Amino acid sequence: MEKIFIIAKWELRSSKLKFDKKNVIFLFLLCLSLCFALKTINLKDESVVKGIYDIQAIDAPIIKEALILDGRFNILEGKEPIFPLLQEGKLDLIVVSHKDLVVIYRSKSKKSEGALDALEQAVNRYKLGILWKISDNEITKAFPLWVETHYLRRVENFQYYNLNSLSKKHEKNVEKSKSTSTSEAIDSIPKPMPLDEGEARQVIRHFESGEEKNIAPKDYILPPTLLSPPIPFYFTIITFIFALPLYLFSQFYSQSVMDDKVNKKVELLLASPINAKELVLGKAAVYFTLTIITEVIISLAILKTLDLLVIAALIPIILIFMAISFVSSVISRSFKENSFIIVFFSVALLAYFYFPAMFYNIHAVSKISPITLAVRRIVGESIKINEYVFATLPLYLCSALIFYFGMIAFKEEHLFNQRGLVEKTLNILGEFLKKGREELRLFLVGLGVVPIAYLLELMYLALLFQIPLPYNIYAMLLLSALTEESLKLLGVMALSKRIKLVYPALSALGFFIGERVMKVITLAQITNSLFGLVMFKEYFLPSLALHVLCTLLASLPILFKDKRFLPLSLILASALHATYNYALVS
Amino acid sequence: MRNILAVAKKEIKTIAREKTFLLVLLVQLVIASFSAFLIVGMFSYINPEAMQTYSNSHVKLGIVGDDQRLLHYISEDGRIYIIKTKNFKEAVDMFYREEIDGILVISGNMDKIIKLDIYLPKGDIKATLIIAYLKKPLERYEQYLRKIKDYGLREEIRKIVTYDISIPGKKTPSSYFEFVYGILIPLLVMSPAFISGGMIIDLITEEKEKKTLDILLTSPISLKDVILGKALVCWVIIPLQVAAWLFILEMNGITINNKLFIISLSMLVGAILIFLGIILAIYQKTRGVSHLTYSLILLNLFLISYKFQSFSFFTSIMRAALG
Repeated sequence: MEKIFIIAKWELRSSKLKFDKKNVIFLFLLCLSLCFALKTINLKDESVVKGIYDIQAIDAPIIKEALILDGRFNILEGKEPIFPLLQEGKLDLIVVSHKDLVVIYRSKSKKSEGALDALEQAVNRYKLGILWKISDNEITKAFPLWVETHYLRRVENFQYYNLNSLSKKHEKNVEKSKSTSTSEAIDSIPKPMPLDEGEARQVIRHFESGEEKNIAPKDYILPPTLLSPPIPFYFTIITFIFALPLYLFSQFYSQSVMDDKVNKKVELLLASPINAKELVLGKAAVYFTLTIITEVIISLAILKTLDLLVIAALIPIILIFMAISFVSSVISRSFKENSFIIVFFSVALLAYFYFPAMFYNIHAVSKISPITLAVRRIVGESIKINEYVFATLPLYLCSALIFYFGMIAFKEEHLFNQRGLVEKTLNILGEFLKKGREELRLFLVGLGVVPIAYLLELMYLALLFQIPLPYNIYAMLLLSALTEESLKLLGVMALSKRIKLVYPALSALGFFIGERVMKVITLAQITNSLFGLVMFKEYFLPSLALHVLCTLLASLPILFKDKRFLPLSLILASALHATYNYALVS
Repeated sequence: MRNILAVAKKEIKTIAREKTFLLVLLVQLVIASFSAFLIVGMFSYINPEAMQTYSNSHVKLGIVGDDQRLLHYISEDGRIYIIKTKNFKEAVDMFYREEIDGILVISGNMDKIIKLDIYLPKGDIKATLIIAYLKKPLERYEQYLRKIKDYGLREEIRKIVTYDISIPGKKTPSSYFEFVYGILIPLLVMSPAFISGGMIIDLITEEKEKKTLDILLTSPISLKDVILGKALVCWVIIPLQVAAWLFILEMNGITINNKLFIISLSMLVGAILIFLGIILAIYQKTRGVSHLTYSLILLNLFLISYKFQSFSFFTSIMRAALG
């Protein structure tokens, strides 16, 4: 422990050295100008598209005034409509006003369609300006209709939107449990109230006084023109800010490991009394702590409170990012490769965390992401312990495994050789296996890859569920079969030079048992959806037989010492596996 | 020149061997495969009303009270199913049993003010949908009310109050159009230039930190050749990626004009950023700090170009894409 602490102290000191005074001042100035720019620039500003539409307005003073006020239009003068320009696409609309009649000419282009919508908006906005002015005397004529919106929290029930909700049994249970809570709830709901002229005038004055003219507050009484729908995914988007330090510090972490590697510092450190484990953990501890501190600061700045459960939901995400950055910097051959591996996994992981969270409250799939937990805490919901375990356990397990793998690899012979990624991975795995009691170790590898398979399958689930129904199930079946077969084969491939017939079976057995354990831990969360069925089948012995058979089939080329056919055998085994799962689901 | 090409060839070889470029393409492909989702998703964040055009899902609205014309306007579109309820209590019961997605209570009278109370599920996408679907019919109803109450207003005011150019039928919302051309296309087209600027930092600092630069310099190749060779590689991959992006966008049904001009513009920006990357890589101590500085400068440049649009590359791309 003490040694870990020493390493952490060194790391902090050396990372400070990288920033000299000039650098710090320069970076500080850049940050300052960034803050300033963010403050002064309105990202929703429509002037980005200033003069985007070209329009000709003839004898239409009201429309012309509205267009000038709007700013998105390039107005062409003239007494007669110039139709050739419209056909060429150089003009989007021609507006001709004659007494009470307004004639609008448009072309078939999409841009012309957009211009039409923009014209309507411009006129409505202009009209609103006039209406504000007369509203004091003529409120019932200027604003005859008012809308008040109330938002009610409904008892969540995912079964309703779940794929399995079709089964009638479920629905009945759900209804029973709900009708009891209704009568209590009705008293706390704000009652609908009529609105008198005085109140309406007050609202308008409130709008006129402030800058809020264009921003409609929620839960407010408004005329329909000012009504704007609540932003979907609002809270999910807020949580994006938490992803920034995560990415930044894991980059710094991998940079630091790469530095030691490139400057050959690792050799010296490994020769010292400090072992690889302490070295790795000491370094990791620094960046982990820095990330947590930043997240706490962000939480205080944005949410104005510190919710430990939000931070707790972020911890497994920080760990998996760090684990991948670490292993990537250990096995990659150059900075380039390292950057790209990290960027690739960051994109994939962020998709896995954020896509499901977008469907918070809508689809059961949102439960697989820890970000959903953070979102739910932010909106003030409580989280059950089994929900936390379900969303985070695979991540904890995977991070631990990846870190462990990285520690085995943290040796000169792996750090500095120039082999490809797959070959390197197999070598490192082989080294672990050959340490003794190969059979037991192979079984453990089979067991150990389960969380990784599980995580990957959850990732597919997150990415595939938008595809229409039968196809996403097929894709899911094929992908998860391929993943499971490939992972089971890893251990066997690492021992390919001294292969025995029993090895594939052992790897399969390990995997099978791991899968069952995983099932017990996470049961009852998504297992009752169709996707869940794909991942966890019900039959015990046939499933075991299938796992063993498929791995044997996939390992045939290794057993016969001819690796050329390995891709073919892997595909065949996956197809068999997928067909079996399909039979189970249907 | 030959020396520059030799260095470039060496870089391309290592990139091919490490298959890193493949990963870059894969990342962009993953993003591209979601681009339909991204466009609608990001866009509905900027403008939730757009849901009105994109969504075809139905919502069930429980109604308390009666107003034939209003209900006619609301149900005309076909995406809101109207379910009449006896009273507020029954509507609330149905709402919690999830038989309806929202409640609309009508009160007040024609002569004075008509007030609508809308009850929606909190944090649910259906709330967004209901308001998005209701907005147009309510505006139409408001306009109808204004027209029948326009007596006694001064003529020029009356003219404006009853002025209505709402055009029925579905149409491309202008904000979608402005988002795609004003923000999405410029950003996507510029991203390869951003990547290349970061890549040159990696390529140079790598030689520096591995101490291989000294060895390289003892060969007949000069420092200038080394840097130019590396820069060349980073530069030539820009048009390839931009072309791919343009292709993907066109596949998604977005027309883009002046493609050659856009590609050359992104190459120009790429050249500037690569130059910036070279300077940072040479003058900063480590790769991490160079990258941090690079990203901060990039963000600043981005926001500045947002502020001063008449000089901005983004505006030029938008105009070029529009034709």
